[in-house]
Amino acid sequence: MGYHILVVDDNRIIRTMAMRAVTMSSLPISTMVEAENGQIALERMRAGTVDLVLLDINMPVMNGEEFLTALRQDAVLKPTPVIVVSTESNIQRIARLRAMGAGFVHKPFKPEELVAAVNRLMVFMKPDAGAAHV
Amino acid sequence: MSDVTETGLITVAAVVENLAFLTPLGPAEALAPADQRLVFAVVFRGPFTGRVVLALGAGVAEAMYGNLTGSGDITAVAHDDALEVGKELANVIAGNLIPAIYGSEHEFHLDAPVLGAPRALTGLHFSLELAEGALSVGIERD
Repeated sequence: MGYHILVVDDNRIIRTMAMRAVTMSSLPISTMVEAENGQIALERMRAGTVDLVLLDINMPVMNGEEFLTALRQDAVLKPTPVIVVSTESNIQRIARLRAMGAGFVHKPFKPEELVAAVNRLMVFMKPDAGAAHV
Repeated sequence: MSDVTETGLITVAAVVENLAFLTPLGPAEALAPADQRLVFAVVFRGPFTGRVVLALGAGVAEAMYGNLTGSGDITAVAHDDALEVGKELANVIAGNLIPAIYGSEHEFHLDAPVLGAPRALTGLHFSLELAEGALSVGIERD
């Protein structure tokens, strides 16, 4: 029994880094899947259970803010916890992301910073809670 | 050294250390086009538009790849892998440098980094000598 994590970033190596950082956390993990943009991320979420999303912002096809907006408008997917992992520093944009219920980790991040953010967010969740599943 | 130059160098050095785990040694002369092995451009749009250009000298992308993946052998890093790490370095440098130079009260949107051609860096630019090589970052405003 563990969490189903989705890592969304257009950079393959950064997805790998993020997955390695999450495995260093104390979270029990069932699956980790990847998506290279917001559109593919939504497809992955509609196809299976996702308990937590780690989300980049600057991506082609569908960026992180567009993805988060679509996510929160979806009746089934909207409760899914999201941590934005981004270089974004504009106060208004960060406020918009937080208003959509996202946690935030600033790039460049130390692995322990990502781990701490995941642990903070997931302490209220139970594994296999099925935050979003079809 | 002007305040802007110092701010730019400190910002780039922080990203290089904290993202790529590379070792900045100090300011350097701008990389000549002939010494630029990989060049990336990140277009930014906001109150004004332009691009951040990252030029990497020999060995830098390979060293970053080794640091991020834990791979001990960086003598045969695939070109695609070097491009991936270089793009992310360009993305994060641009994302940190633009607000550091122009202020975080403006909202800028950054395009995905694209591979570019070697070029002479004119205007605002910052160059670092690294233990692993050298890099230069330029900001070009439209």
